[in-house]
Amino acid sequence: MAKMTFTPEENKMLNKAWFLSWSTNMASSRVSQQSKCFAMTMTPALDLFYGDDEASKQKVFERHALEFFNTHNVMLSLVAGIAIALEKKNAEDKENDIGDTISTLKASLMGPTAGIGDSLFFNVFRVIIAGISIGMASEGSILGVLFFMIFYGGGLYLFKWIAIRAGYFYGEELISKAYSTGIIPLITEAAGILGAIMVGALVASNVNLKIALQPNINNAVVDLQGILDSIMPGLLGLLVFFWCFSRVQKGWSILKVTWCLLIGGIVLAFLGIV
Amino acid sequence: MGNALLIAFSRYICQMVDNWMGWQVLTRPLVIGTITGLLCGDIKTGVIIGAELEAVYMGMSPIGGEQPSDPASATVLCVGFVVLDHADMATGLALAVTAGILINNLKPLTNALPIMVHPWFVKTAKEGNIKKFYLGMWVQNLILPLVQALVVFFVALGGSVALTNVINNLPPFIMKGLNAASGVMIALGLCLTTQAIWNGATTVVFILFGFVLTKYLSLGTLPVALIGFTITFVYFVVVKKINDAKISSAAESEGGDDFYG
Repeated sequence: MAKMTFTPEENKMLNKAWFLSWSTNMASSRVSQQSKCFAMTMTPALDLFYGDDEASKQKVFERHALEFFNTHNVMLSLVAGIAIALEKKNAEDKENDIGDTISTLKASLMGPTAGIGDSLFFNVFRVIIAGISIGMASEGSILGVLFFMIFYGGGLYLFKWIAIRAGYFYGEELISKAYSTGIIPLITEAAGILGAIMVGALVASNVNLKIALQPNINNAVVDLQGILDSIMPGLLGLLVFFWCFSRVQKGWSILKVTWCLLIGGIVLAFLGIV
Repeated sequence: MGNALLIAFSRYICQMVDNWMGWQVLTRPLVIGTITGLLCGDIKTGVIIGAELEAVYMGMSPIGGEQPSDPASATVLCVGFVVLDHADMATGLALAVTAGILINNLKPLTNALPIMVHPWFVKTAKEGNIKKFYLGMWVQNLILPLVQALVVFFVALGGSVALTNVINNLPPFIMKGLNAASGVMIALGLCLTTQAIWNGATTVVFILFGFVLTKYLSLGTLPVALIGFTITFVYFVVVKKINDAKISSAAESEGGDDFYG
């Protein structure tokens, strides 16, 4: 692989993006998790690539701000770096909008990167650093605390700094090659398959709804959730997902669906169903 | 009262700054214990309690997003009990760990607030007002940790008994309903991703495929991604071969190449 080199403008843009990518978990919500931080991380790049073209900037920003994104802190910087490289191509080639390709790649990257990042950083890196720090701090020495802050916190910063640069540089190299051979539409189509599989996996692991109601009919307790589970585990979560999707496709606003889910949850709980 | 405010402030400031800086150290027991100790005037005890609780919570990582307890709240309460109320350390630890689990039960409330303001962010993103969007993120970050700090404040004032009373006195259906709603909220965010990759029935089939791999075969995201990648790769290679064959046969017939003739 080639050594990473950047123009001064790119360097400045990547530094700003790195700074904005610190706030991975700031202002996150259960609806789209880290999408707000992701969208903010893209803004220095949009300023650089689009200049004064506010309408295009808005379109790209909205895409990143609304779609679900969730991964490990450090991995967000890596995926953001790759996304910046893609947005650069998108800005240069005005005729073909590859926005959908970018969304697809993000969707297929977040699951695996989260798995790798969580186990690497929480279960290996933090346990090692914290183990050493606890040994130093258990007698009340502040050195142990400083050690933990500098090596774990500072370590995350360093990894994020490298990740966003590597994502951008090698991402751009790969994309340029793909562009020159004209296989971008095929990549989009193929990546859509991977994206859909990952969406299905995320629905299975993250969308949970269980029926608590166990009606008593002629002294026989009917375990509704048990019956549903025997048909298909997680069936309700899947149905809720497809219901939401059909509403969004019909043009319902996010606001409307959000309130439907919140009020629906409370009403169903009041009736003792969930 | 003053003591309770002090440790609630410590909980607030650490959470707020950590959300922004993303260091993920300020809300760890070791560091928040030290900072609370510093604020309470006994940094050494803060460090020792922090180290003790860090060992307790070290293995509990929020993989998949959910944590069984609230380590940061437990730590500030423990330092408060020991330094300010002169409890002995064993009692303080026992009380704090229990409080951490109880406070964690209030999560549906703290989850519901960002869901309610999310539509505002959607609106602002559609306007393209990035400055206002970022300002909104900051306002959320300044206000939301107040909820956790408030809970810590009341627990510090009244002890764990008061907290148990509050939880018992809330109509249970509110917590259950909010919990159910935030359990399905991610579906909404995934809808927008699905819209971007939407390709009719193909998308539905592969969503079901990913769902089945995860639910029935209990595979983790990494193996699912690898299986998905294999399928995608095979699809890519096969379709590319077909396309290349089409292009070359088209070139042959157009060029009037009579090599085979």
